[in-house]
Amino acid sequence: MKAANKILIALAGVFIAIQFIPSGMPENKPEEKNSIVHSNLIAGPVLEQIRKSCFDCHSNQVQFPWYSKLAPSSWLLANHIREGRSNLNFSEWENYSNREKTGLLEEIKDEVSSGKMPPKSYLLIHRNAKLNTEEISALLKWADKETAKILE
Amino acid sequence: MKIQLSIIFLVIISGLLFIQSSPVNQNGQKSGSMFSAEVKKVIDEKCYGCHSAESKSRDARNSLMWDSLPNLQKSKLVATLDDIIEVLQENKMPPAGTIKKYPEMRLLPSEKKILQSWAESRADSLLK
Repeated sequence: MKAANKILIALAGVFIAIQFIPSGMPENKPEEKNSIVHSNLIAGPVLEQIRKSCFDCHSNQVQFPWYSKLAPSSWLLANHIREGRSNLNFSEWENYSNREKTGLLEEIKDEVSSGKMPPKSYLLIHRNAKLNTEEISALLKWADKETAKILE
Repeated sequence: MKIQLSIIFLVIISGLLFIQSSPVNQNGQKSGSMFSAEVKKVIDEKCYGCHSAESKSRDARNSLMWDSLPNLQKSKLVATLDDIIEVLQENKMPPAGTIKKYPEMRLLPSEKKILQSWAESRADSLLK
């Protein structure tokens, strides 16, 4: 057997073997009353934008792509989702205190207006998640309105 | 004689004006209202070295500048206080590297409590 073939078979073996390592992928949970979706805070187009552009990492409602079942991409994805949820989880919005909400709304404004969110690597694969200028300004307006409601 | 009196009067008045404006410190920033002496002591000893305009660390300056807190708009101030509380709760500041080099920079539990309750009550006063 040629050396190249041996390497290919070995690689295939490794690929199959790593499929048995659990990815620790966070699971989706049904939306409960604490979710921003049920809170009357947000509706219509802005909710749809957030759903489309943010929910894959910042909610319990992930649209898992096919490669989420395959190692090693599943490991990366699991990490991103875990990290995203721990920073901001729209599905648990009402569990945050008013202080935390204010902090999160400020961060949302900063990240979205500076183009840091959604991340470039995510937009490469999810083109429809990109926010256009009008969508960004609608989101900023929403965040400002929410902040004003919370502040004294 | 009358002129002399009015000069003395003027001097006294301008002296009074000076006393009134004294709470503004050299940097032209409002002092006093934001931090109690107790809080200010902890900040000066453990935080100010990196989180001030003279700091060499750009990261530290970008993340937090104690002197600019009084100038922040309300929402930014609450967000910054929320960050401060989180960082304290997770023992992220002063950074591990700094503490390794200068063990005396570690926040004592009592100092941590002073900063945290200051930030909490300050934030609560701005929230509904």
